[in-house]
Amino acid sequence: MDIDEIQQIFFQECEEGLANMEVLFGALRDGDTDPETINSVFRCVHSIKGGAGAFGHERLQAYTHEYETLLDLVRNGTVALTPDLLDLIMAAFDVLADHVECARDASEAPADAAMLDRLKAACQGDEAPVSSQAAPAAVATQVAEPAPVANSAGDDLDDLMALLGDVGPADAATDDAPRWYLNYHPGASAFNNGAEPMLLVRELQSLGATLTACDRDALPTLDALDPEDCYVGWRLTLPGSIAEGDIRAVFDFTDAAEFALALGEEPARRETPSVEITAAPVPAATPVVETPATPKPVAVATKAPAPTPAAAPAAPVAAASQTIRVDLDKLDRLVNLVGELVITQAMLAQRLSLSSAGGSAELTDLENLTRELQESTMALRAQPMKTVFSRVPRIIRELEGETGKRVRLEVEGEMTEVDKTVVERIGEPLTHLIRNAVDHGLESTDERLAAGKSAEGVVKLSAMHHSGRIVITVADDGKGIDRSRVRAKAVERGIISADAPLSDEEIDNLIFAPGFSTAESVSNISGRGVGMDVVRKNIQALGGRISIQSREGKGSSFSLSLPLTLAVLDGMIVTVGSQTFVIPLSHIVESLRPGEETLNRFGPNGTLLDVRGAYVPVLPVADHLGIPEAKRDPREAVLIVVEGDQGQAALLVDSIQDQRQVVVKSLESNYQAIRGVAGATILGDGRVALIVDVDGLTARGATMPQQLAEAA
Amino acid sequence: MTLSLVPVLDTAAAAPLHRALLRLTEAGEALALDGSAVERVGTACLQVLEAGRVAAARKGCDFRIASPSPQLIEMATLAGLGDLVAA
Repeated sequence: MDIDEIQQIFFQECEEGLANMEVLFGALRDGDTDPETINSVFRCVHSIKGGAGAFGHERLQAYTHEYETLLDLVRNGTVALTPDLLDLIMAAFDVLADHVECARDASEAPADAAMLDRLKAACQGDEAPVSSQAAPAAVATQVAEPAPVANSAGDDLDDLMALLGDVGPADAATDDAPRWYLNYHPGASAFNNGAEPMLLVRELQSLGATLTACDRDALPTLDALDPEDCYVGWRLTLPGSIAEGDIRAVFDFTDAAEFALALGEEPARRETPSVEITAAPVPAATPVVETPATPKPVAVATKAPAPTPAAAPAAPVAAASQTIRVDLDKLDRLVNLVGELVITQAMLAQRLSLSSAGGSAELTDLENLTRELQESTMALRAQPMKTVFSRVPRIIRELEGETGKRVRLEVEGEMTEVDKTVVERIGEPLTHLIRNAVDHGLESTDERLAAGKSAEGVVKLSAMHHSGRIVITVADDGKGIDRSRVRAKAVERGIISADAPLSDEEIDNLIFAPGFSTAESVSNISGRGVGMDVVRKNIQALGGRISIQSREGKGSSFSLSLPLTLAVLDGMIVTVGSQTFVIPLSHIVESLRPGEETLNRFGPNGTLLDVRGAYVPVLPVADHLGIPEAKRDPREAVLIVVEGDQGQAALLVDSIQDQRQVVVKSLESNYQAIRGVAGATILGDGRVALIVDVDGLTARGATMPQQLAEAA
Repeated sequence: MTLSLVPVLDTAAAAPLHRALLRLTEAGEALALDGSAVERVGTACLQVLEAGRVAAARKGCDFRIASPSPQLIEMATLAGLGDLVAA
């Protein structure tokens, strides 16, 4: 693994840390007074700082240093956490997020001078931190050498000294309770980049650790000593009640080989760094290994002869990690293979169904196992919506600043999982909906008060699984959609005729029409020339649907219904000539056999279908995809009304075979892109069926009237 | 001769301190240090001081940090090297 890959992991961990901080801020904002909450915020920032230092992101490191200093003063009670200070801490968080982004993109760091001044001022708050202590009087003779220059401001020693006095004695744990035993031997390079290993010791002590001894056996004689190398180590004990993860979190940015943790008994002492973790539940003489993945401290013995601390190879059993990072390509290959397996299984079942073996129990078992395997594999790509939702509080904060409205965000179901691709691509439409809710949905504070509502508007964001899909809802308690205004605007823009009979639902849906904008003036918040039509298009591209529920004066709710994965889709299997096609179910509105009276000739070859008063063009799939010997007379065929980018259209097919889930195969990566075809799948009988690109087809269909006009 | 420790004993200060202690021990002199000015001290300097203490003991010389500042005492204690500053 090269340094870039390790750095990528650091940035992923930054993302996770930032997302976690948002959640913690939410709790603090709601009045959470648990000291552990602000402690966790501190640890997130501290981890980012550690990584920033390790990878040479000096500006990020310097910024986190100041941020962390303030957080530390808050967590140890030196500075009280007032609502104003919480606002500052959250504003500082936004700058931190910018810093991380800039460090990742290798772009110029954000302007943070003002925020740094505010952080420093907050640190100086009511009680000056320890650093303001008067320097002792100067002394007669200094060390003969020139006075050493202190390291950069980001030196960890600053932190350590500032934190002195904060180290309380460990909780007096009951004598009977098993304790954690920890050996910490920072490697020779522990002082690199101004790092100070004692900071971790101090961090452990703040968790309740007691230092039992300083290991100085490895300290060479004075003449053999390299003052830039670290030789000492420490042995500590901690109350057994402390979660193992909390202890390990202290070592987030250190080599796993540098510390050894054991519950109930002391890890074997050793000269060289190594790692071992034992979880013996009671201080029994026999080291009972509770976690299979964790060796006994004895394991160290095999590593003891290692000559230099830094040279210790990867520990046999590092931290009993709960997660493992896997390259996405590997995961996708697995997903793909499982897809193949599903297809092969279906083929086998179909083949066997023709013989007498079709109904055997083994075949049913295989089918169940395959389905379970497929679901488990898909779950590997699943991520909680939290990663998207965690960015929302910041958007809300910015919107509050821009609009002067007061907004309370309520989040539900953030742990709901959905495919990674969906998580990655849902962010933009969701942001637009949030902005729309605050900008257009919520009234100004004065209007709210006048309407008898609370001054603070509520935006509710929720995610839940429903019928094999994920439903994400953005709701506000604002004024609701003003239907008369929407209608007037739609007439003005020529989207509908003045006398068009529309239901409330249809009027609401007008806001998704291309080019529609209800804002009196296009603000820079939700209106940027792109409207809700783009939101709908993005959602549809994910195989999703969007719907609105609105009550005037009570608020609006936008629901996005998305597939849990993009690797499989629900499709309608249709026949066109001798070919089989799949039409994604998410696009299908209805299917019908048209009566003579609903068909209207238009031009030499065109036909329009009358769907309850609305005319939609009939598009023979055979014509568009060049299939001979297919039905072309709508009266003999089946029409499938689909909703695409350009509105509705009726796809003309010979017949409908089935409706089922299909595994999507990329046409681009296996053959080449074809207009009007979105992908392919393999059917149970082994034949390839192309998946119709509804947007592509209907867009081509939309050019037909023009061609007709030219022909005429 | 008393060697006064500088106020900032961070990692960068470890090398000059190391050289100073080395000179004194090689000359067979007692290590008489003044720790009253120390405001900040890190592990690097503490381990140099500890190596100096051991070297002095080996040669039968005295090692003493006179008037250690509260910060020095606190850090040395925190590091488990409290005997450096023991009176």
